[in-house]
Amino acid sequence: MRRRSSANMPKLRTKKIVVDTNVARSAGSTDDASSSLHSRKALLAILERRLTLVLSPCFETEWKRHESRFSHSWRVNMQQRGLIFWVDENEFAVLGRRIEEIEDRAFPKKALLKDLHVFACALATNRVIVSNESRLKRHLIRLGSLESRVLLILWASPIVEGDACSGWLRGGAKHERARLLSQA
Amino acid sequence: MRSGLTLEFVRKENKPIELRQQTTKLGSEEFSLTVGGRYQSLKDLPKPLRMYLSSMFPSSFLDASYEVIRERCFLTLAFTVKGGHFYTFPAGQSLVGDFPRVLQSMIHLPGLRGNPERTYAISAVGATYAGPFQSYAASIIDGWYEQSSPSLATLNHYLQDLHLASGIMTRKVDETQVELRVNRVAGQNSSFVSIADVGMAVSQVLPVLVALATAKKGQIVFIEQPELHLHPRAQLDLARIICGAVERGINLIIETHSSLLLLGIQTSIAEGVIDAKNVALHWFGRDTDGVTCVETAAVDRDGSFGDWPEDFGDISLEAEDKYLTAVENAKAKQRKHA
Repeated sequence: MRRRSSANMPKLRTKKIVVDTNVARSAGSTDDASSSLHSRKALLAILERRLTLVLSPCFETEWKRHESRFSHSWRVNMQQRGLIFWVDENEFAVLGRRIEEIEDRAFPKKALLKDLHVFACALATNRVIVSNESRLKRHLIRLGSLESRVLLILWASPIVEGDACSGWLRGGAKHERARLLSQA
Repeated sequence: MRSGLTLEFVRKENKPIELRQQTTKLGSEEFSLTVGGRYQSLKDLPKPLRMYLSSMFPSSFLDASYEVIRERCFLTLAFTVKGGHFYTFPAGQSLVGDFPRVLQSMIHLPGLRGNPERTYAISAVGATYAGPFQSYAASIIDGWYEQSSPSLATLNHYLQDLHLASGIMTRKVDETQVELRVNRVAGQNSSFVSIADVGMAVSQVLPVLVALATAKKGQIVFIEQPELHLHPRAQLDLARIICGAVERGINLIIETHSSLLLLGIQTSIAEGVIDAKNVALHWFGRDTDGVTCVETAAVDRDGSFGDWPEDFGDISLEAEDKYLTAVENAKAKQRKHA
């Protein structure tokens, strides 16, 4: 018998990933087989590679509202392994105020503020978002002209990319220039 | 300075594992005894052992030759005094405290706990339980029932918590046999039936519950597969009973394949029912040479165990994924043929 490690097995320090609630909803949903399959593949890749899920209290509430049974089991599994990283929502306030102060009436302020927890969580960690919401991606690129660090977010879409998304996650969600919002 | 006992085992080809060497550490001093080791006289023995024996016995008695022999799971010093009298002395373990007593007082419940019986043989119940514990369970319950012991109320609560029965009683068949009867309906004495006439779960979990109710603070209870035959909900409820026993100071060693039981324990930690520092998780796997590997994970206050070396928790998620994929494929096929 061999003892490979002693009393305290260290927590893994893996890349912190924001997974949008639309992925949580479509993974396991029977409405659209293709989006369900690729969203599940993305979640399984995150677990398999032991990446860390980023949540904040209000983001978790959104997750609970949208998650499928499969996504719920996945989140439980992530929590059991200590693979959830919690972001302090106080950090969102400054960014929220900046968006509110934008005077351009055509600017999608309302939509961005609705999803503030998604990209604020990403900006507070490793700037990675896995989302099926292409509209949010467009809004963030617009925001990037005022808040340049938003353009450093790496974007991955299970539905649009299919296996390429889960493959990238399984590989550790490494920096890929083509995934930067600045390159979109 | 810590004292301790280290046992070294060897495995020779086609032979069972054998105890080879026993090392006793007493503060900064330590000595080892090896099976078959011989000492011509007292002065040849390791110093701590020599001093201990000298303080225990008259020197005339210790004028002997010594040999290290194996006695069950420890090494023993055998000595033949003048006149041919032969004695044995637990060489190292007596010097480091009550190690043998702790092990001998251990309650062991193996994974095979026998069939439910119409009657059980009455066995003497003492302070320790040699061999598998399940053979004592009926006699212990009978003793509690005869004396209206509060332990019987505890056992009944456990059975109710698991939704298995509302109560249990015994009926002496004769001086050597006792029947265990359980009540499936609360408040109806007439509905007590033999344990052999209810589901397997009751007879399999009953020894576990009796062990937890009878164990004393500091006692080791080693349970293999406590979840046997239990409904998933009962597995989850059992986790809470187990955590209660740990909080009472019972040292529990549990071998399980139940992810629900594990999740129940993690939940109790996150709820603050049980202190995280009282729980550790040991994963047993095998390396490519077939050698058993143990990895230990400490738990945090959220009940998280960090990363796991085994795919224990992934299986149910993979199974769900496979099922959903199969359903989606079947639907796609149906649409194609429509």
